[in-house]
Amino acid sequence: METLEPYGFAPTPAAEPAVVGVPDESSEAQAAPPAHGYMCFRVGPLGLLFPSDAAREVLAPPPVSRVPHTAAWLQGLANVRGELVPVVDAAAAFGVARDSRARTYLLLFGQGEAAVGVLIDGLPRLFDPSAAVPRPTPTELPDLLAGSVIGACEHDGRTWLDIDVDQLLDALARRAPHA
Amino acid sequence: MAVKKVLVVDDSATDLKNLEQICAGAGYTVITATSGNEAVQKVRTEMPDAVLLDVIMDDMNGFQVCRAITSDQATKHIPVVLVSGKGEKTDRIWGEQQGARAYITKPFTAEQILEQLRAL
Repeated sequence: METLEPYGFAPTPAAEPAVVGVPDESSEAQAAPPAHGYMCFRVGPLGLLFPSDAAREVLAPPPVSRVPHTAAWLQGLANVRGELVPVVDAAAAFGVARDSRARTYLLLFGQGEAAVGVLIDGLPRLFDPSAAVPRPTPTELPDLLAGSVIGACEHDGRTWLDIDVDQLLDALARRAPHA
Repeated sequence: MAVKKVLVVDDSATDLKNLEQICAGAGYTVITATSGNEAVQKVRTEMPDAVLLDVIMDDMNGFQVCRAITSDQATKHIPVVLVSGKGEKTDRIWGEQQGARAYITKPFTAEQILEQLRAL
């Protein structure tokens, strides 16, 4: 059995994990329906939460074609089964360092012309907010992210930022043309 | 739970017919849908015992349909089996996270489909 990369949580065997749906192939046949409305993903040191129905699919990063006169964090356009999808390097957009130990994946949001792919560190996972502790929203946030954070919580020593996906994609779309 | 009625969802007429014949030939009652939206509607109105669900579809993909089924209180008990040409490990994991009970990669054999239905 191939083991996927760990997600970086401190081991807390006694605690009820907030993150469920651990990507272990051995659990595929017994997968339970998701009981939670949130998923989470990481971008470098940032942990982000989003409604589970906001994302469409996760892929290995496809080749991209650079688009001139756009922000450096807009990696370019990818052809996803015939659909042109803008690919955002989230680490570059948020000004953080990518987690070099984690594999990069493309998380797809939106449909058709509204589709956007975001490069993230490791696979997204289900997240149970009831097992996390609410925290005040951090005051210092990356510029491109700040307007999209609608809450925060903590689990296993990591702060998770609850993001409004539509606002985040809108902010990215507004800033993308600026090289 | 013994599966009697199966909803087969695929936007490929060939694959749909193939799955329909496999299931009907084994004695299952088969209903069909050719899009994600139609699948969500038919799950709610027909309440099948299981869903065989293609992934790559134009309106809602199979992952989104699966999430719609498994997050709806009225339908979340209905097992969903994803049947797709997308065979990457990420697809299996993502499908699992959307609540799919199993994942069968195309091309499949009739026995793979029937074995999975019997296992639900």
